[in-house]
Amino acid sequence: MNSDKILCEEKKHFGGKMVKVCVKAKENNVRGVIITGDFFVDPEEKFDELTNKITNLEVSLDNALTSIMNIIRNGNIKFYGISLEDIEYVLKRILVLLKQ
Amino acid sequence: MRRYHVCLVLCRMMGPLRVIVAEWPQNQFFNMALEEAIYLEAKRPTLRLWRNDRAVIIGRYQSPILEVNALEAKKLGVKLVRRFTGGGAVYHDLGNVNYALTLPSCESIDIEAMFRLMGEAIVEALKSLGINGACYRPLNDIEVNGLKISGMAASRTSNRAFIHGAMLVSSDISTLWRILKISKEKLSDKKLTESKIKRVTTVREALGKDISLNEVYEVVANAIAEKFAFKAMWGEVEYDEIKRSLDLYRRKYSKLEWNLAYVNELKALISKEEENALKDISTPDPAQERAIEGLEA
Repeated sequence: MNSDKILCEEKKHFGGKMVKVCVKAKENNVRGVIITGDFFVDPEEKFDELTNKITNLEVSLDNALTSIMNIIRNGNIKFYGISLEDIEYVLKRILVLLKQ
Repeated sequence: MRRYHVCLVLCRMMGPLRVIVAEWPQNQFFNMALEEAIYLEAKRPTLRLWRNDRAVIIGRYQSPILEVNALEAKKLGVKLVRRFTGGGAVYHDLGNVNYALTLPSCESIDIEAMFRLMGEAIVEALKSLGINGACYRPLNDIEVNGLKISGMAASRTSNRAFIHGAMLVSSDISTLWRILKISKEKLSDKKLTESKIKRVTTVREALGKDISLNEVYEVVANAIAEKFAFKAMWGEVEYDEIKRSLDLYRRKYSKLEWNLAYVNELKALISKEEENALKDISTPDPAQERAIEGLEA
């Protein structure tokens, strides 16, 4: 039986902070996403809520980028040191690798 | 008038800035619990100055698996504690001075403004010590001639603000590089290679001589009080703050669930040996428990 595969990628916002994204996947499905790094957020509890929503998220690889980014955007979190585009860039990179 | 000036005015109405030296260096987990307890109690504007024995303090949103070389940390007797603010991993030892400012009744100040004000205060403190070439580098660093000497982190809730930082005074920088996993991405905009890492400096190195801890504390306290326009008054940590920190210590800072957040999901990335080392360094040992025994009474 195939076990979950975990891929992590990172991006440093120029002159800013680092975001590290890890995606757990099995066959053609994402089975969880973790976003970590040395950035700051406001409000902090909203980021905890976001983490809870995506840690065990199940979605197909084809729909993953849209679904995950929608959850993040709807979280109404202000990031300091990184941007939403940084997270999206890293996610895209991981999803391309997972599809190969 | 900037919006945050209003909150600082309200904060100043709560009295002078209480400056305390409160530290339990032997128990880094309790030290971090006290940091949050003072912020949560927020009875009055408070500046805490303190030190930790050897520990890697990770940011609230970091995974220890991705940041810390646990096997090396265990070998060197370095503990791991997660703090309640964001930002990156820092190394603490007795050559590192921590400063933490709690501002009650101050909700309109944003994180960037806090970093700028505190960054400018620490630059002034370094100048007072005789260090040239110090500057604040956004978002949260203070540098001397391009080398980091202090980093900051901050938090804010609906009715209070908090900012803290660590200043390298005479820290053992070589340990720092051994226990932190430094990624190539992190170095990418600093034109440095892994074989030639020279990103940080200390007060001792910048001055070319040793300096007393009391002098550092005094200069830092005066600079922060002046920048935030407070009258400083030296005081003591209070019973309620200790009580709250003991509660936070038992429920949160001594627990793997807190210190090793973002680990379970990524366990497949490390060996069993590294996982065990992570658990070991993230748990207080009996000697550390004994160091705070007297506080329970």
